[in-house]
Amino acid sequence: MSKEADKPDAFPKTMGTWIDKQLQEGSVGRDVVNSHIMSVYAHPLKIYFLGSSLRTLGEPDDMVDGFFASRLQKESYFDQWKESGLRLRRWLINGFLFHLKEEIRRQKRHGDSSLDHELHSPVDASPDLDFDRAWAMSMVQDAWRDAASSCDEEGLGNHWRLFIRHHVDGVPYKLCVEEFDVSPSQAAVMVRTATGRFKNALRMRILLDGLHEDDVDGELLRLMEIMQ
Amino acid sequence: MNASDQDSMKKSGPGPLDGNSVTNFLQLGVEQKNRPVDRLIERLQQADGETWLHSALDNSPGSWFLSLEGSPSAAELEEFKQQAKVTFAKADDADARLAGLLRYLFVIAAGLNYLGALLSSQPAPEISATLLDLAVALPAPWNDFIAEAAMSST
Repeated sequence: MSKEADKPDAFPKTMGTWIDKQLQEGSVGRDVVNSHIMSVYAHPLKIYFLGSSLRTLGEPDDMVDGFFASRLQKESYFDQWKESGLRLRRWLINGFLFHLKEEIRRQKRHGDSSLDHELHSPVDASPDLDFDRAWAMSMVQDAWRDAASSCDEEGLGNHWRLFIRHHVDGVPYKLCVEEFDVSPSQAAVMVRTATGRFKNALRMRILLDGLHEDDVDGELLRLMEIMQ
Repeated sequence: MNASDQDSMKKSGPGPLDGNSVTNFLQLGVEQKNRPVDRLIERLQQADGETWLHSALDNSPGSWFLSLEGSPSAAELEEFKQQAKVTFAKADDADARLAGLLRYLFVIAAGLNYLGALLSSQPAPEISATLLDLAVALPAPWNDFIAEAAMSST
Protein backbone atom coordinates (compact mmCIF):
# COMPACT_ATOMS: atom_id res chain seq x y z
CA MET A 1 0.00 0.00 0.00
CA SER A 2 1.24 3.49 -0.71
CA LYS A 3 2.41 5.87 1.98
CA GLU A 4 -0.48 8.09 1.01
CA ALA A 5 -2.86 5.28 1.77
CA ASP A 6 -1.25 4.72 5.15
CA LYS A 7 -2.11 8.19 6.35
CA PRO A 8 -4.58 8.14 9.22
CA ASP A 9 -8.15 8.30 7.99
CA ALA A 10 -7.02 8.40 4.35
CA PHE A 11 -7.82 4.74 3.84
CA PRO A 12 -10.28 3.54 6.46
CA LYS A 13 -9.68 0.01 7.64
CA THR A 14 -13.33 -0.86 7.93
CA MET A 15 -16.67 0.46 6.93
CA GLY A 16 -17.47 0.73 10.62
CA THR A 17 -14.74 3.21 11.39
CA TRP A 18 -15.47 5.20 8.27
CA ILE A 19 -19.19 5.30 8.98
CA ASP A 20 -18.61 6.21 12.60
CA LYS A 21 -16.37 9.05 11.59
CA GLN A 22 -18.82 10.34 9.02
CA LEU A 23 -21.84 10.05 11.29
CA GLN A 24 -20.05 12.08 13.94
CA GLU A 25 -20.10 14.92 11.45
CA GLY A 26 -23.89 15.11 11.72
CA SER A 27 -26.21 15.49 8.77
CA VAL A 28 -23.38 16.32 6.37
CA GLY A 29 -21.58 13.11 7.27
CA ARG A 30 -24.76 11.09 7.04
CA ASP A 31 -25.31 12.46 3.54
CA VAL A 32 -21.78 11.34 2.61
CA VAL A 33 -22.46 7.83 3.88
CA ASN A 34 -25.82 7.65 2.18
CA SER A 35 -24.38 8.98 -1.04
CA HIS A 36 -21.77 6.21 -1.01
CA ILE A 37 -24.38 3.55 -0.31
CA MET A 38 -26.65 4.75 -3.09
CA SER A 39 -23.82 5.24 -5.54
CA VAL A 40 -22.40 1.77 -5.10
CA TYR A 41 -25.38 -0.38 -4.17
CA ALA A 42 -28.43 1.08 -5.95
CA HIS A 43 -27.69 -0.50 -9.31
CA PRO A 44 -26.87 -3.95 -7.89
CA LEU A 45 -30.09 -3.92 -5.88
CA LYS A 46 -32.07 -3.07 -9.01
CA ILE A 47 -30.41 -5.95 -10.85
CA TYR A 48 -31.19 -8.22 -7.92
CA PHE A 49 -34.83 -7.08 -7.97
CA LEU A 50 -35.17 -7.66 -11.70
CA GLY A 51 -33.88 -11.20 -11.25
CA SER A 52 -36.28 -11.98 -8.47
CA SER A 53 -39.79 -13.38 -8.39
CA LEU A 54 -40.91 -10.05 -6.98
CA ARG A 55 -40.10 -7.97 -10.03
CA THR A 56 -43.78 -7.40 -10.80
CA LEU A 57 -44.11 -5.37 -7.62
CA GLY A 58 -43.14 -2.22 -9.44
CA GLU A 59 -40.37 -0.32 -11.08
CA PRO A 60 -36.89 -1.18 -9.80
CA ASP A 61 -36.06 2.51 -9.34
CA ASP A 62 -39.11 2.97 -7.15
CA MET A 63 -38.39 -0.13 -5.10
CA VAL A 64 -34.77 0.72 -4.45
CA ASP A 65 -35.45 4.41 -3.82
CA GLY A 66 -38.20 3.43 -1.41
CA PHE A 67 -35.87 1.06 0.39
CA PHE A 68 -33.18 3.66 0.81
CA ALA A 69 -35.68 6.30 1.89
CA SER A 70 -37.10 4.00 4.53
CA ARG A 71 -33.77 2.87 5.98
CA LEU A 72 -30.90 5.25 5.47
CA GLN A 73 -32.18 8.07 7.65
CA LYS A 74 -32.70 5.80 10.64
CA GLU A 75 -30.23 6.71 13.36
CA SER A 76 -29.65 3.12 14.33
CA TYR A 77 -29.43 1.60 10.86
CA PHE A 78 -25.67 1.35 10.68
CA ASP A 79 -25.32 0.35 14.31
CA GLN A 80 -27.61 -2.56 13.57
CA TRP A 81 -25.53 -3.46 10.55
CA LYS A 82 -22.34 -3.52 12.59
CA GLU A 83 -24.00 -5.66 15.23
CA SER A 84 -25.12 -8.10 12.54
CA GLY A 85 -21.56 -8.97 11.56
CA LEU A 86 -22.71 -9.21 7.95
CA ARG A 87 -21.00 -7.85 4.89
CA LEU A 88 -22.72 -4.62 3.92
CA ARG A 89 -23.98 -6.00 0.63
CA ARG A 90 -25.62 -8.94 2.42
CA TRP A 91 -27.10 -6.60 5.02
CA LEU A 92 -28.57 -4.43 2.26
CA ILE A 93 -29.92 -7.42 0.31
CA ASN A 94 -31.60 -8.76 3.44
CA GLY A 95 -33.01 -5.36 4.24
CA PHE A 96 -34.17 -4.90 0.67
CA LEU A 97 -36.00 -8.23 0.72
CA PHE A 98 -37.67 -7.22 3.96
CA HIS A 99 -38.64 -3.92 2.39
CA LEU A 100 -40.17 -5.77 -0.56
CA LYS A 101 -42.15 -7.89 1.85
CA GLU A 102 -43.47 -4.73 3.43
CA GLU A 103 -44.35 -3.48 -0.03
CA ILE A 104 -46.34 -6.63 -0.78
CA ARG A 105 -48.34 -6.12 2.40
CA ARG A 106 -48.86 -2.46 1.59
CA GLN A 107 -50.13 -3.24 -1.88
CA LYS A 108 -52.42 -5.95 -0.54
CA ARG A 109 -53.83 -3.59 2.05
CA HIS A 110 -54.63 -1.09 -0.64
CA GLY A 111 -56.04 -3.75 -2.88
CA ASP A 112 -53.99 -2.51 -5.77
CA SER A 113 -52.00 -5.63 -6.25
CA SER A 114 -52.82 -8.94 -7.74
CA LEU A 115 -49.69 -10.27 -6.13
CA ASP A 116 -50.02 -13.30 -4.06
CA HIS A 117 -46.43 -13.45 -3.10
CA GLU A 118 -44.87 -14.34 0.07
CA LEU A 119 -41.22 -13.83 0.17
CA HIS A 120 -39.50 -16.58 -1.70
CA SER A 121 -36.10 -17.04 -3.17
CA PRO A 122 -35.49 -15.08 -6.30
CA VAL A 123 -36.21 -16.77 -9.62
CA ASP A 124 -32.72 -16.69 -11.02
CA ALA A 125 -30.37 -19.43 -9.99
CA SER A 126 -27.64 -17.02 -9.12
CA PRO A 127 -29.12 -13.72 -7.96
CA ASP A 128 -26.18 -13.11 -5.69
CA LEU A 129 -23.83 -13.48 -8.63
CA ASP A 130 -25.93 -11.06 -10.65
CA PHE A 131 -25.80 -8.67 -7.71
CA ASP A 132 -22.06 -9.06 -7.36
CA ARG A 133 -21.43 -8.48 -11.06
CA ALA A 134 -23.45 -5.28 -10.87
CA TRP A 135 -21.69 -4.39 -7.61
CA ALA A 136 -18.29 -4.79 -9.23
CA MET A 137 -19.37 -2.55 -12.08
CA SER A 138 -20.73 0.08 -9.70
CA MET A 139 -17.56 0.02 -7.65
CA VAL A 140 -15.41 0.48 -10.74
CA GLN A 141 -17.53 3.43 -11.85
CA ASP A 142 -17.61 4.96 -8.38
CA ALA A 143 -13.86 4.52 -7.92
CA TRP A 144 -13.40 6.12 -11.33
CA ARG A 145 -15.33 9.22 -10.26
CA ASP A 146 -13.42 9.38 -6.99
CA ALA A 147 -10.01 9.05 -8.64
CA ALA A 148 -10.90 11.54 -11.39
CA SER A 149 -12.04 14.05 -8.82
CA SER A 150 -8.93 13.51 -6.71
CA CYS A 151 -6.64 14.06 -9.70
CA ASP A 152 -8.63 17.10 -10.80
CA GLU A 153 -8.45 18.72 -7.38
CA GLU A 154 -4.69 18.26 -7.21
CA GLY A 155 -3.86 19.53 -10.66
CA LEU A 156 -3.13 16.06 -12.02
CA GLY A 157 -5.52 16.33 -14.94
CA ASN A 158 -3.02 15.08 -17.48
CA HIS A 159 -2.18 12.13 -15.27
CA TRP A 160 -5.83 11.11 -15.30
CA ARG A 161 -6.24 11.80 -19.00
CA LEU A 162 -3.31 9.54 -19.76
CA PHE A 163 -4.91 6.85 -17.62
CA ILE A 164 -8.14 7.21 -19.59
CA ARG A 165 -6.38 7.18 -22.94
CA HIS A 166 -4.69 3.92 -22.11
CA HIS A 167 -7.23 2.02 -20.03
CA VAL A 168 -10.44 3.24 -21.65
CA ASP A 169 -9.53 4.37 -25.14
CA GLY A 170 -7.02 1.57 -25.53
CA VAL A 171 -4.19 3.80 -26.73
CA PRO A 172 -0.82 2.06 -26.25
CA TYR A 173 1.44 3.77 -23.75
CA LYS A 174 4.00 4.36 -26.45
CA LEU A 175 1.53 6.55 -28.36
CA CYS A 176 0.45 8.25 -25.12
CA VAL A 177 4.03 9.38 -24.63
CA GLU A 178 3.92 11.12 -27.99
CA GLU A 179 0.42 12.47 -27.49
CA PHE A 180 1.23 14.02 -24.13
CA ASP A 181 4.70 15.12 -25.21
CA VAL A 182 6.37 13.67 -22.15
CA SER A 183 9.36 11.41 -21.65
CA PRO A 184 8.75 7.71 -20.99
CA SER A 185 9.81 8.14 -17.37
CA GLN A 186 7.44 11.10 -16.94
CA ALA A 187 4.66 9.00 -18.43
CA ALA A 188 5.55 6.19 -16.03
CA VAL A 189 5.10 8.51 -13.07
CA MET A 190 1.82 9.78 -14.48
CA VAL A 191 0.53 6.27 -15.07
CA ARG A 192 1.52 5.10 -11.62
CA THR A 193 -0.01 8.15 -9.95
CA ALA A 194 -3.37 7.89 -11.69
CA THR A 195 -3.46 4.13 -11.38
CA GLY A 196 -2.64 4.45 -7.70
CA ARG A 197 -5.56 6.82 -7.17
CA PHE A 198 -7.93 4.46 -8.90
CA LYS A 199 -6.53 1.44 -7.11
CA ASN A 200 -6.90 3.02 -3.67
CA ALA A 201 -10.43 4.18 -4.47
CA LEU A 202 -11.41 0.70 -5.63
CA ARG A 203 -9.83 -1.08 -2.69
CA MET A 204 -11.50 1.36 -0.32
CA ARG A 205 -14.89 0.37 -1.69
CA ILE A 206 -14.16 -3.27 -0.97
CA LEU A 207 -13.10 -2.34 2.55
CA LEU A 208 -16.25 -0.29 2.94
CA ASP A 209 -18.30 -3.41 2.36
CA GLY A 210 -16.86 -4.72 5.61
CA LEU A 211 -13.89 -6.81 4.52
CA HIS A 212 -10.55 -6.90 6.27
CA GLU A 213 -7.70 -5.47 4.26
CA ASP A 214 -6.03 -8.87 4.05
CA ASP A 215 -9.08 -10.16 2.19
CA VAL A 216 -9.38 -7.41 -0.39
CA ASP A 217 -7.19 -9.09 -3.00
CA GLY A 218 -9.14 -12.33 -2.62
CA GLU A 219 -12.40 -10.48 -3.11
CA LEU A 220 -11.08 -8.72 -6.19
CA LEU A 221 -9.99 -12.04 -7.65
CA ARG A 222 -13.40 -13.56 -6.87
CA LEU A 223 -15.14 -10.67 -8.62
CA MET A 224 -12.80 -10.97 -11.60
CA GLU A 225 -13.67 -14.64 -11.85
CA ILE A 226 -17.42 -14.11 -11.83
CA MET A 227 -17.10 -11.32 -14.40
CA GLN A 228 -15.68 -13.77 -16.93
CA MET B 1 -6.24 22.20 -19.64
CA ASN B 2 -8.41 22.61 -22.74
CA ALA B 3 -12.12 21.94 -23.05
CA SER B 4 -11.56 18.41 -24.23
CA ASP B 5 -9.37 17.72 -21.23
CA GLN B 6 -11.98 19.12 -18.89
CA ASP B 7 -14.59 16.92 -20.52
CA SER B 8 -12.39 13.92 -19.82
CA MET B 9 -12.08 14.90 -16.19
CA LYS B 10 -15.77 15.50 -15.83
CA LYS B 11 -16.88 12.28 -17.49
CA SER B 12 -19.03 10.65 -14.90
CA GLY B 13 -17.49 7.27 -15.49
CA PRO B 14 -15.71 5.04 -17.91
CA GLY B 15 -18.88 4.59 -19.92
CA PRO B 16 -20.55 1.28 -20.68
CA LEU B 17 -18.44 -1.55 -19.36
CA ASP B 18 -18.45 -5.14 -20.50
CA GLY B 19 -17.23 -8.00 -18.35
CA ASN B 20 -13.72 -7.84 -19.73
CA SER B 21 -13.44 -4.11 -19.06
CA VAL B 22 -14.63 -4.52 -15.49
CA THR B 23 -12.18 -7.37 -15.02
CA ASN B 24 -9.33 -5.22 -16.29
CA PHE B 25 -10.25 -2.42 -13.93
CA LEU B 26 -10.58 -4.83 -11.01
CA GLN B 27 -7.13 -6.17 -11.83
CA LEU B 28 -5.74 -2.68 -11.28
CA GLY B 29 -6.93 -2.89 -7.69
CA VAL B 30 -5.00 -6.02 -6.85
CA GLU B 31 -2.07 -5.35 -4.58
CA GLN B 32 1.19 -6.68 -5.93
CA LYS B 33 2.85 -8.08 -2.84
CA ASN B 34 6.24 -9.55 -2.19
CA ARG B 35 7.52 -9.24 -5.71
CA PRO B 36 11.29 -9.36 -6.00
CA VAL B 37 11.16 -6.01 -7.77
CA ASP B 38 9.63 -4.45 -4.68
CA ARG B 39 12.75 -5.38 -2.70
CA LEU B 40 14.88 -3.98 -5.50
CA ILE B 41 12.94 -0.73 -5.39
CA GLU B 42 13.33 -0.56 -1.62
CA ARG B 43 17.08 -1.01 -2.07
CA LEU B 44 17.19 1.80 -4.62
CA GLN B 45 15.31 4.06 -2.25
CA GLN B 46 17.80 3.65 0.56
CA ALA B 47 20.15 6.53 1.32
CA ASP B 48 23.00 4.92 -0.60
CA GLY B 49 20.68 3.64 -3.33
CA GLU B 50 22.20 5.59 -6.19
CA THR B 51 25.72 4.59 -5.20
CA TRP B 52 24.62 0.97 -5.00
CA LEU B 53 22.95 1.26 -8.41
CA HIS B 54 26.10 2.57 -10.06
CA SER B 55 28.12 -0.17 -8.44
CA ALA B 56 25.69 -2.89 -9.51
CA LEU B 57 25.70 -1.65 -13.10
CA ASP B 58 29.45 -1.04 -13.15
CA ASN B 59 30.08 -4.61 -12.04
CA SER B 60 27.87 -6.01 -14.78
CA PRO B 61 29.26 -8.33 -17.43
CA GLY B 62 29.04 -5.59 -20.07
CA SER B 63 29.72 -1.86 -20.07
CA TRP B 64 26.39 -1.35 -21.76
CA PHE B 65 24.53 -1.70 -18.45
CA LEU B 66 26.07 1.47 -17.09
CA SER B 67 26.32 3.52 -20.25
CA LEU B 68 23.37 2.21 -22.27
CA GLU B 69 25.53 2.95 -25.27
CA GLY B 70 25.50 0.53 -28.18
CA SER B 71 23.02 -2.29 -28.54
CA PRO B 72 23.99 -5.73 -27.32
CA SER B 73 23.22 -8.49 -29.77
CA ALA B 74 20.52 -11.04 -29.11
CA ALA B 75 23.19 -13.58 -28.22
CA GLU B 76 24.82 -11.18 -25.76
CA LEU B 77 21.51 -10.39 -24.16
CA GLU B 78 20.77 -14.07 -23.75
CA GLU B 79 24.16 -14.56 -22.11
CA PHE B 80 23.64 -11.56 -19.83
CA LYS B 81 20.24 -12.88 -18.90
CA GLN B 82 21.51 -16.29 -17.92
CA GLN B 83 24.29 -14.76 -15.83
CA ALA B 84 21.83 -12.46 -14.11
CA LYS B 85 19.51 -15.36 -13.34
CA VAL B 86 22.33 -17.34 -11.81
CA THR B 87 23.40 -14.37 -9.70
CA PHE B 88 19.86 -13.75 -8.55
CA ALA B 89 19.35 -17.39 -7.64
CA LYS B 90 22.69 -18.23 -6.09
CA ALA B 91 24.40 -15.12 -4.74
CA ASP B 92 25.23 -15.22 -1.06
CA ASP B 93 24.03 -11.81 0.00
CA ALA B 94 20.91 -9.80 -0.64
CA ASP B 95 22.63 -6.95 -2.43
CA ALA B 96 24.23 -9.31 -4.92
CA ARG B 97 20.92 -11.04 -5.57
CA LEU B 98 19.24 -7.71 -6.16
CA ALA B 99 22.04 -6.71 -8.50
CA GLY B 100 21.29 -9.88 -10.44
CA LEU B 101 17.63 -8.97 -10.60
CA LEU B 102 18.49 -5.44 -11.72
CA ARG B 103 20.62 -6.76 -14.57
CA TYR B 104 17.97 -9.29 -15.51
CA LEU B 105 15.36 -6.55 -15.82
CA PHE B 106 17.77 -4.38 -17.81
CA VAL B 107 18.23 -7.27 -20.24
CA ILE B 108 14.47 -7.74 -20.54
CA ALA B 109 14.12 -4.00 -21.20
CA ALA B 110 16.85 -4.18 -23.81
CA GLY B 111 15.07 -7.04 -25.52
CA LEU B 112 11.92 -4.95 -25.76
CA ASN B 113 13.68 -1.74 -26.79
CA TYR B 114 16.24 -3.16 -29.22
CA LEU B 115 14.71 -6.37 -30.51
CA GLY B 116 11.01 -5.81 -29.93
CA ALA B 117 11.06 -9.16 -28.18
CA LEU B 118 10.02 -10.25 -24.72
CA LEU B 119 12.94 -12.31 -23.46
CA SER B 120 10.99 -13.62 -20.51
CA SER B 121 8.42 -16.30 -19.93
CA GLN B 122 6.48 -13.94 -17.67
CA PRO B 123 3.28 -12.49 -19.15
CA ALA B 124 3.81 -9.18 -20.93
CA PRO B 125 1.45 -7.19 -18.65
CA GLU B 126 3.31 -8.47 -15.60
CA ILE B 127 6.68 -7.53 -17.06
CA SER B 128 5.31 -4.16 -18.09
CA ALA B 129 4.04 -3.44 -14.58
CA THR B 130 7.35 -4.55 -13.08
CA LEU B 131 9.39 -2.37 -15.40
CA LEU B 132 7.04 0.55 -14.90
CA ASP B 133 7.48 0.38 -11.15
CA LEU B 134 11.24 0.03 -11.50
CA ALA B 135 11.44 2.99 -13.87
CA VAL B 136 9.88 5.30 -11.32
CA ALA B 137 12.54 4.32 -8.78
CA LEU B 138 15.51 4.83 -11.14
CA PRO B 139 17.37 8.05 -11.88
CA ALA B 140 18.17 9.28 -15.39
CA PRO B 141 19.11 8.00 -17.85
CA TRP B 142 18.02 4.51 -16.87
CA ASN B 143 14.49 5.58 -15.93
CA ASP B 144 13.57 6.51 -19.49
CA PHE B 145 15.16 3.36 -20.88
CA ILE B 146 13.23 1.10 -18.54
CA ALA B 147 9.99 3.09 -18.87
CA GLU B 148 10.21 2.96 -22.65
CA ALA B 149 10.47 -0.81 -22.46
CA ALA B 150 7.57 -0.99 -20.01
CA MET B 151 5.39 0.93 -22.40
CA SER B 152 6.44 -0.81 -25.58
CA SER B 153 4.38 -3.91 -25.04
CA THR B 154 1.19 -2.40 -23.68
